[in-house]
Amino acid sequence: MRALWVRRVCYQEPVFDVKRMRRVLYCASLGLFCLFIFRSGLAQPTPKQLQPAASSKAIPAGPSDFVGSETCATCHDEVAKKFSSNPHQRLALEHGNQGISCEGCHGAGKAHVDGGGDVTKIRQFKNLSAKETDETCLTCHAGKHANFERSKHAEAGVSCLSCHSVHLSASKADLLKADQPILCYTCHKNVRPAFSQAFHHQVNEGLMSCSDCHDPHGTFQPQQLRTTDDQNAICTKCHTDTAGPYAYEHPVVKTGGCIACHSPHGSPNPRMLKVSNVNTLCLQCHSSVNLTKFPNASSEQGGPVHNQATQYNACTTCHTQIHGSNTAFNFFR
Amino acid sequence: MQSRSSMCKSSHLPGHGLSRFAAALGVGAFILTLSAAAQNAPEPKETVRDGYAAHQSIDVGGRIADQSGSLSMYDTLVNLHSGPRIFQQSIDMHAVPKAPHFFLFDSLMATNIGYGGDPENNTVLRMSKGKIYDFQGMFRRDRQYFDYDLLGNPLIPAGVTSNGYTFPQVEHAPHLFNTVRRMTDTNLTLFPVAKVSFRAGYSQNINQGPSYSSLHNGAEAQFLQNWRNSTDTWFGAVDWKPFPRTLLTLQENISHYKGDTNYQLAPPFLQLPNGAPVTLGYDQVTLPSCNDGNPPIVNGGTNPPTVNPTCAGYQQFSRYAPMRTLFPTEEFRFQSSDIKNVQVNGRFHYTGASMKMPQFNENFTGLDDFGIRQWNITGYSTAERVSVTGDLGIAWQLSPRVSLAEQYDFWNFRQPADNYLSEIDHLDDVNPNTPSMLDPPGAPQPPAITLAHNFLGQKTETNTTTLGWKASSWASFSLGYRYRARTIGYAMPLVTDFLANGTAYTLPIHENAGILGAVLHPSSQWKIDGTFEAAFDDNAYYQLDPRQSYRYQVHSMWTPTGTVTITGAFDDLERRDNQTLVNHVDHNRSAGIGAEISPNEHYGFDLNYGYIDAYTRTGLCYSSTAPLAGAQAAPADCGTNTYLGTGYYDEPTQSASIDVMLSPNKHVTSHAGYRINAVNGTTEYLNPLAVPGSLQSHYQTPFFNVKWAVAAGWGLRGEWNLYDYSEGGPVGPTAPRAFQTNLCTLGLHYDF
Repeated sequence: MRALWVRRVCYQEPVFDVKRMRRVLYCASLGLFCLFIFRSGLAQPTPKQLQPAASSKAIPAGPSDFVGSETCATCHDEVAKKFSSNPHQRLALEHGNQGISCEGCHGAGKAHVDGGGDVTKIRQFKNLSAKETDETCLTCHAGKHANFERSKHAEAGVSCLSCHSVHLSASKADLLKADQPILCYTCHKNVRPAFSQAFHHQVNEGLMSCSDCHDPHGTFQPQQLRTTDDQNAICTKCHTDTAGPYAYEHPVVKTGGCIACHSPHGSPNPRMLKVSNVNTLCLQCHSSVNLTKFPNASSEQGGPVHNQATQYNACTTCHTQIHGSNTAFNFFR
Repeated sequence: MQSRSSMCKSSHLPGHGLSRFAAALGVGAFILTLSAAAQNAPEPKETVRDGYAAHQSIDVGGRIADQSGSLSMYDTLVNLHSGPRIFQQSIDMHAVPKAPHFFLFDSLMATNIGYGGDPENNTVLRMSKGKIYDFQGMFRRDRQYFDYDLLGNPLIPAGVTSNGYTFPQVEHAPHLFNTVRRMTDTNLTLFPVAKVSFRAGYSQNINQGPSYSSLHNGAEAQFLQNWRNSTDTWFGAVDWKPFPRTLLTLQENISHYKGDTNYQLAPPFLQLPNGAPVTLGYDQVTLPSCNDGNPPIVNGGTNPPTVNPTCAGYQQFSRYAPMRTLFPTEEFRFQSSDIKNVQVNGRFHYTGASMKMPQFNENFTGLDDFGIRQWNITGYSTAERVSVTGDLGIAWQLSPRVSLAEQYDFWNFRQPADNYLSEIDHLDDVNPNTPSMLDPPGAPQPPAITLAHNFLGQKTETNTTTLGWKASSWASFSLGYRYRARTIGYAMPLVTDFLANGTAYTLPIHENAGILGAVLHPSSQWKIDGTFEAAFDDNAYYQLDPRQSYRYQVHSMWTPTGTVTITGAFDDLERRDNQTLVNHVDHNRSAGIGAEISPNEHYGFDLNYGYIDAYTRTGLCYSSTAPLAGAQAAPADCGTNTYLGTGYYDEPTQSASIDVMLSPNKHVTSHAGYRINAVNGTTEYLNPLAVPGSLQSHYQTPFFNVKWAVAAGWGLRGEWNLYDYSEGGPVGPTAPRAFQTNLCTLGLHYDF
């Protein structure tokens, strides 16, 4: 192994390179660790090797196939005790208080009970595919989450139980496995750094949550964004002074959206602007650099050319009402 | 044979290594001692009373902040200060089955967080009763303090003097704000599981507080801008399930916005020779020039200093522009899964909003650079927003392996607006060639009328078709096509003393996009999903509007064991507009990887690393008497601008965090960790005298906290956070913005 031994020119004899040896040992250890983990993972049975559990497409059960949640509680006592505070408990009040709760999701339980707790005779969600899981939940919740089946989450195989847990939730009200944003960061690791930047929406601090702007169940908008009632950007729900409508609009705000100038998650720049210098941001558009292709940019400018060397203030020092004005076409007031 | 140097190193144990080890032993012994003392403390129980099982908790305590460095920056970024706090208070009640209880609710949950002095406060209330109702309410309060010396640092260098008076350096942002936003959201659902259910709700958003603004007219006047904006929103809806899997919804939303922000002239004030207060504005890079050619300060020895009355200045200013906007929206939604293998949903919105600013009033007395001594502007504005949207989505499972999704979106908004302004100016009739603030305002000039009938509108139609194919139990693919047609209309036929005519145009833009997706399960513990999207537009509205865009997204989650989860995500958005001289390129790349290791309830690790790179480059024209080295001469299209810049901006950011959890027993839990966010970017500095945001900064926040359940229902909590922000590289001529704050939090917890 040449890597571990280097020949020192001065002494003309091989010398053992300890630093390089340490690196090799570290890499070898890491590789062995990864191999152990991966192989132990491969040793786990894949879903297709398991005995198929009762799926959502099983033969419809008749009334006599249901045993009631009291029967379920005789064995699953711990789960049943905690269920009294679960929103799904309301299902028991259906059909003249004869409604079902456990079997509403897990399927009719008679065969499971008669089989002495045969797990193949009851719906176990851990053995279902994402689509099968979603079909069960959407039996009741499709109305409220109508876009879910076409959403990015559903397309990526993220099921209801990826985020929610009926029996082991951290958040009782929404039955989430963890509170936001920790739950969302589990997968969206690339978004987390943005909220650690100096200027950011206060998601980590608990003032806002990811679902204030995004609907994880899907919307008709890109990036699963919400909108306000009047189909304005969701930003205007809190930043109401930018909603307008104004007599003199800054057109890009309404046509391109707030993200034309701002980075909504976080930025090292104040006001979460996309660039650090306001003048650069404005001049990127308000600049007659190619009138043939951008004839409208120049005509919006109107005013005099400013000497940047003496224009020590930012554009918005004078053009203060930059989101729109009711009195000045140049947004001075 | 080991090298001589490595043998020396291996035989030497530095003294600090021993002391570290000893310290670790000591900490471990302390924690074990704590655990021994707490081992016999019983768990608190739920209280059952009056038919409810109730659990309450409260956390009280305080914070101690030891702050050094820039207080402005600390208040802008963190804003946590010393003082007592109610960290958290909660109550959770649910009815005991078959026990009589209060008729109003079966379950109630209320939480209050952050009261007593933290900038963010939060209250949540949820109540429900069986099949009768569900109620959710939330109140959030956020103090938004901004004092970052960037957007308008007036750059008064030290030592700008005139006749013994040194113009003070401004130490706060001229657009500082210190506002409070209070947001209330309530939502009531009656008969939530019935065939017909009703929903109603109310939301309120109040944003108020002082801030600073400015006006450029001769001098840069600073204004005290008293924010007072509020929005009230009501909605009522009916949900009807005519069939088991079909839902129809009719909803009415009404929002009412009230803008009552007003402006007053802000101090500090100097004085005129007649003793009247006046301000020369806040921007004096060099001494202001005055009409009579004399210095701006005639006597620096008076209190306050006496100003040359022929300088541009503000004696009095007020602006009052109340704005009222009503947004009524009618909404119809439907969703149905009653057709086998088909899920269809859609919605239709109509908004007919109207804005009125019935009375605009602005008064100025002083002297501007046009020789105007006084002006009064009155007028009004109206605007409408008519927005129509229609969306339809269909998901059809053609076979167990093949699915088809179709989505059509229509959106058309139109915003006609009118503005009428009348400005009456008064010049200096006494000394028209050398106007002075000591001379009374002259006779009113003929009114200058602004009459505008403006229009902005956009119509967008989008159709997206996606074919999904489940190739095997471990691989699924999707292929989609999107077509979008957008038409923007704009008109501003303005008649003013500045512009004779505005411009009207209609701009069509058509987009074709392809979307490819894949979801892979190489093993039962490993999932990868990815999307690639490419979009091409035949036109662009502005230089940053891309004609080509590409997006790559990958997520991966690997759970080799039940106690280890490793996830990674990558997102790359590339946008281009390769028009001559513009050559706009921007990308936003983000990547993150994290590992959560929880072998048991006694210890665990959470490690994360993230990288963000935001980059943009756009050809732009600018003028400068001190251009950048190697600045390129501007082409003819740039008009009177002299140089062509690149608008180069690159912001690579690294972020890392580690959180170690240690819980020797169920009564003691501690976390220790470190977070850092480091930016190392560059940009083209067009304006050497500007104060840009820092593109070289470190923001690190190590932390440690421990919770100890000392007895049944009682707990202690201690937390230490360090907020350390520092900047490097060119930050412009501004006061240093670095800060370091040690924040200690002590709390007492009680469960009952």
